This record gives sequence, structure tokens and C-alpha cells, in this order.
Amino acid sequence: MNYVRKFLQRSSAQALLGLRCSLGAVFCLAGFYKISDPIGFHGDLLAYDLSLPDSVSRLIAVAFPSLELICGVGLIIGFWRESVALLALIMSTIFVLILAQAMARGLDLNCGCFGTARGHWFDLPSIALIRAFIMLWASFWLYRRKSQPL
Amino acid sequence: MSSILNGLWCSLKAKQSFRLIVLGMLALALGLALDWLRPAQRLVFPRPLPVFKITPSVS
Repeated sequence: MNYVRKFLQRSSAQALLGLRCSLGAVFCLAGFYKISDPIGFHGDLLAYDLSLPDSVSRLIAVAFPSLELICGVGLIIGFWRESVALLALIMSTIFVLILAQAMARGLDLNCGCFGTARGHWFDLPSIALIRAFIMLWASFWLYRRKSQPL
Repeated sequence: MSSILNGLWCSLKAKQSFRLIVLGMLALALGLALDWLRPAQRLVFPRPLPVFKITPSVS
């Protein structure tokens, strides 16, 4: 019985580590693609029609990809695990809210999550929203299990 | 559920807020530096930066 419990605990820890690294890789990839094409990301941001001042949207287009990259690297290497999980949770919530409002308003846009590549099925807002919900669930799970040493 | 939300709120109020601010400032600094170093497609520094010329003093 003790052996089974230990096995389950070890499996859970490995699953958590896999989840953390996967979420970190997604954040790193998204940040990298956005950093490589900032003008395209700014255009995608404007397409969401968030009524932000021009200077603010430019600052977001500059800083947000770096934040994603830092969050991804932090998740992978386990740096400030609790804070980085909280940051991932906040960013995933922002993704869900922005995509949901865009879909509710019927905006025809490219999600811009992984750069400005057009015509891919994973750039559709509905697919992006599902992906954002998965990321939200993963970051929420990581945040809840923050105290577990890995 | 309320305990989780309460925990989130407490985390935001406690030391996590300081770390989040540090991460945010780091990201902003990195983003601005990358924008500054980019030869084209700048967003925050759209115009070419001024060139400073050092003129020798006349003595």
C-alpha cells in the first residue's frame, strides 16, 4: 500500500514537471515568435479593437512578448516558481478574456498568439480560445500545487 | 473555490506583488532594449536616433 502511494506521488510529481515544462515551452515559443515580428504583433493587437491609446498599445507590443519569454523560461527552470505560476495564471486569464470579448463581438481576426502566420487552423479565434482555456487550467493547476517541491 | 480566490488575493498582496513587479519591469526593460537595438521595425523608438558628434574644443 505504501509502495502504491509512493508510486502515485512520484507519478504526480512527474506529471506536474511535464505540465510545467510544456506550459513554459508554449510561452517561450509564443514570446519568441512575437519578438521576431513586433510590427505584426502590434497589428494583431490593434485588430482586437481594445480602444487603447497608441503609446500604450506600442508599449504592450514591446513588453508583452518579453514577459511571455521570461515567464516561459521561469517555468522551465523553476525560478521563483510560485510567482511565475501566478504570472502565467494572470496572462492566461488575460488571453481568455481578450479572445472571448473578440469572439463575442464577432471580430474577424488572426489570434496573433504565435506570430503573424496566416491561414493556419490554430490561428482561428475559437481554437485559440480553447488553447487559452487549456493554458488557464494548466497554470491554475501549477499555481495550486506550487508548494510541491520539484 | 472561495479559499482559492482568497489565497490568490493574499498572494497578490504579499511578496508575490513585489516579484510580479520585478518580472514586469524586467520584461519592459528587455522589450525596450530589444526595440532600441533593432535596426528596423521599431515600435517605441520609431525615428532614427540622433547622432552625436564630438567636436574638439578650441583652445
